[in-house]
Amino acid sequence: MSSKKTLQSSIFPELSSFIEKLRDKHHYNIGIEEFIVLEKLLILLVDKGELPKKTADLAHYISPLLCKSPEEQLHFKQEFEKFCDQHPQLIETQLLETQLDRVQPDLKSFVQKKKIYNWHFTFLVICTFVLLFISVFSLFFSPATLKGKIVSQVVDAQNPISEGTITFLGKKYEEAIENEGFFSIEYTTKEKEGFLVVEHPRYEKWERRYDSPFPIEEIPIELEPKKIPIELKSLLYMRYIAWALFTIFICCWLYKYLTPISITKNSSSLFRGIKVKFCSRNLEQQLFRDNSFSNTLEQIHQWKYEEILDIDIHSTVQATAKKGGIFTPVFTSGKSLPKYLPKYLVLIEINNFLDYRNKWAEMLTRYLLQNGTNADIYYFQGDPQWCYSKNSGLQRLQQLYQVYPNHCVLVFSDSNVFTDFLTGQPEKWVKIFTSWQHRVILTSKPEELWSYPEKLLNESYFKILPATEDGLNNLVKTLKDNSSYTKSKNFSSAGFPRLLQKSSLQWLQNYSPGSAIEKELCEQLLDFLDPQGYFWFSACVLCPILRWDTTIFLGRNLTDTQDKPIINEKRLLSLLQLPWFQQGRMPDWLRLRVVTQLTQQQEEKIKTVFVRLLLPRIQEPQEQPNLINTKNYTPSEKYELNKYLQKKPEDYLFLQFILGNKPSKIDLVLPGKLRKFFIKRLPMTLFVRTGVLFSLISCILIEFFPSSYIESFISRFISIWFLFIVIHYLFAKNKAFELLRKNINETSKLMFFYILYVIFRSFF
Amino acid sequence: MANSYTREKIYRPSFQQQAKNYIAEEGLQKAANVALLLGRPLLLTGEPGSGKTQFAYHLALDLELDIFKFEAKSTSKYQDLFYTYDVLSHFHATNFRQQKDKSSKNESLGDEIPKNESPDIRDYIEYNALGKAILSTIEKERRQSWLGVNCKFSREAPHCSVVLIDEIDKAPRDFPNDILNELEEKYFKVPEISLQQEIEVNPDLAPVLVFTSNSEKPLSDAFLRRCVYYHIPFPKKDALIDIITKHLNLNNSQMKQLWLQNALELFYYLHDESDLSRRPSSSEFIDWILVLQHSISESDKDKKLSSKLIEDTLGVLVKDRNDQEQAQQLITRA
Repeated sequence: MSSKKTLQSSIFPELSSFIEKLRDKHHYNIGIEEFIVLEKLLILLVDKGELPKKTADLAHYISPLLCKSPEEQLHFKQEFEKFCDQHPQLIETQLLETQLDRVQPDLKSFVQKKKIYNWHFTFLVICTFVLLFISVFSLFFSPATLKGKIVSQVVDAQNPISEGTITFLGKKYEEAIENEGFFSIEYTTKEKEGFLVVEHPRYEKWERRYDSPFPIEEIPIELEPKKIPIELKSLLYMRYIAWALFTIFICCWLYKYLTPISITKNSSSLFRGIKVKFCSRNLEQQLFRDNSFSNTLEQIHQWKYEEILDIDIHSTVQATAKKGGIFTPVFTSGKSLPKYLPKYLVLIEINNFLDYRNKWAEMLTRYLLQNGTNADIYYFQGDPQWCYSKNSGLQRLQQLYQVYPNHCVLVFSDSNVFTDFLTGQPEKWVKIFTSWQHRVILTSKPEELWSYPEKLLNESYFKILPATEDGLNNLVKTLKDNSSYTKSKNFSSAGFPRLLQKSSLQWLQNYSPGSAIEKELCEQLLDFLDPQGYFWFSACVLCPILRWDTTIFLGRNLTDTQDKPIINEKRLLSLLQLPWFQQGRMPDWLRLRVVTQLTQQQEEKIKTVFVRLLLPRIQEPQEQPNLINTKNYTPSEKYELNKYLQKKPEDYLFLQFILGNKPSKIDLVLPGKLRKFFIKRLPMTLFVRTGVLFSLISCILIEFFPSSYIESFISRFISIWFLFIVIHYLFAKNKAFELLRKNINETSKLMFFYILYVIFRSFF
Repeated sequence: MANSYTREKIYRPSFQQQAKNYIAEEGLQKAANVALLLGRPLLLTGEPGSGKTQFAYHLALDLELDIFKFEAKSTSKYQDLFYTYDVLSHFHATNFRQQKDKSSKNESLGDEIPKNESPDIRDYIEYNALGKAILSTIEKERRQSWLGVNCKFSREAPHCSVVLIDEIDKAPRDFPNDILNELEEKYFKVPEISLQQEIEVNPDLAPVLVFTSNSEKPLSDAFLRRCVYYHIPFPKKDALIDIITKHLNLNNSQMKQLWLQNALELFYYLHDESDLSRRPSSSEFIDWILVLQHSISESDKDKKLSSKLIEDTLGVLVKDRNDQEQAQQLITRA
């Protein structure tokens, strides 16, 4: 766009008038299209950096677009030469460069930023070493010890002063002043400079700097009566703060790279490997095996076929005879013969690829297909007006109707997709769905949360069913009788967790809502999922990234008290209604809470499943150990397991659990209110940037406008600020590193000036 | 030249070698770049032998692309650009199959009647330049559904190619107009296989189209408007020397030989200053130089060309009776 603007403002107007002249005066056959193409060509040339530096060279590019005969080509050349004589500097190198700058600003700024980052980081390292060198140098090459004595007299405007404190070279001499104001102090020092300070409660502080060699006798010291009591702090403390800051920086970096395991490192490559191992194509067959649910699925693809069986044989024979042998079926119900078996058009909403609801819908459809149901699957993201399938590509909803006019439409989606976010009214395009006779939305939204949009859609457009076992049981009935679904009263004894009904997204955040709420949530989850379901849930949370295959694997391998697999449709459907399974991730606080609640027996069971899963990957496949108890590891197995897990330090919680250690929080945690104060209200970036900037400005202020008030204020501010940063680093978990990394460029710029100032102060 | 005939052939660089050695002048290079940038066809005109066709090969070689050539004829239809349906062979094959089925039915009376499988129509459809180029841009699986058993592509992966439609001015007047849509959209249909389905190009791998014309017939405005036009001018003396040097692989000292300089002067004299009805082209000049190079002995190479040798070989350059007479007079005078 920028290149277009540049062209429009520079060369294109001139060229346009030239082309118009060719058209009007010399009768070239040039239309609007040629103008557009020419502009497009120039923009492309600018973008590619191939725009010629001389205007004359443009002829080669423009001529092929405007000329249509050899004569025109020759004539154009002559005319363009004249044009170039009139506009010799239409395109200059500088213009070209500015155009290029505008074309690729992001790239350039990126390169520059990268350079700045590298430069500042290098500078920080160099400064650290310079400061260290100076410190070491001053330590080892300190000057020789000096011994001496200072004798003087303290007086005011009229009389000698007999009280007061004398400080020299940092040492305080109480009651050193004798009668008549005389004092005598002896010193031993390596310092090259020193301050002689005389303090008296009623007089202003007297201070003077002396360089080595220090004088033996001094003229009388004259004190002035005190006007305003003030407290002075030395600005030299600044250098210590700078040192402290550096130490923190270095510690942070070291901590980040040397800490082997962290609770917030959510990498899951370990589990990606696992996925490959147990991913089974006929997973759904095993899931629905020996269960009443499979009968429901059978009905779904046979419900119209049943009508064919209701044929009235006697009447059919009579009707056929009357028609002279032409077969004329008569049905008991009196309905016409369905001309086709039920066919389904399945539309699945894809929110993200970790969403369990998608996987469930896919699995269900796959199962229906395997059982002979005729179904075509399409996917959509947010808006079903455009659907996608592997075979047909992108299709409009209207096109789908042309292809599948007699199909039953099953939409696996949230009903919110069909209603306007602001008004709550159904979207205009929802009417397209009414072209189909049967249309059903299978929503994963818990029945308890169904509200006005569901009611509206249910009345006019769709039959809404929950994507649960109960919903699917009602699907056939709904399709047959076109009846609405009545909410199930005994779907779940406890209902959807009350806490999750408010705002499901807040439970995905990494900050714990507090111990009491955590406990309450776990109790509600236990009621909702039933004890075995909760046990399954507890096993799932060990993986930082929730994956469908991992969950199914755990469900199939974990057993209940009767030694049966804990997986069943009801529990699975309950799980996929939970927000963590819809987003595919679990916050650490909940994982920790759930894992620590496991009983010893449950822990052993889960460990066995995971170990059974992991060990064959380390050892040879034929050596699959049948471990019942993890305590029965042989030393070599323990070694292998340790080696494998340590080599891939993926997740603290998982590793600690599987290695038999008690997982605990590795970060210090502040009480809730304090943490909110430090972390939520005052972000870390604000701390460092503002703090460094403020220190820098104040240092400059002090330098030019020395004032004990400013000094006092700044020294206090810096102390508090320093304390805040330390607290933040200690308590803000690893998020602080992320923020620091993101803002390192800007921070380092300020730090650079600050360090410069500290060095300046140290030397002068 | 000896009185007897000779079967000896003069070495002439292969077509690929010629394409490799092709020197495209700056204007032509820029025009080709414009066409590539805008994704439009390049229309080249110029005197016969000015290297229009060779440039297409040179472009394909330079871009490392396959080239498919279509030679336009006075009978060409727009469909020929994409495919040819061999109706006759298909009819014969179907007839033959039916005859065979009948005879086998008679032989196996009472047995199961053999299936009457008609031959696959795709075996009788031969894809031509643009058809092949469009098919080569799509995935192998999709492509295969349009191809017969014996039709194979050199590269299986989707790829881009150059399509040369040579001498479009030879084709009927409607031919360029018929392909306007296909030029822009780059798709075609094979109604014999499917009435509905279109074979659409993969836009990322759209073929590079090069048309050549000898300007024997004017082309329509609509067609010209869709093309990037370039007229290859007759090369200047320096450019021609470069072309000869590269084509004949001559070094500097060879180029300075008197016979060659003499030939060059003579050629430009005939081309620029004579009133010949048909002026000799640069490719004819190269051929003439090849003949001269073969005919002159090493000792004569530092001498001017003899008038006898020029007369004997003039037929390579001048191909009209009146022109030949005029040329001989001019040479004698010169």
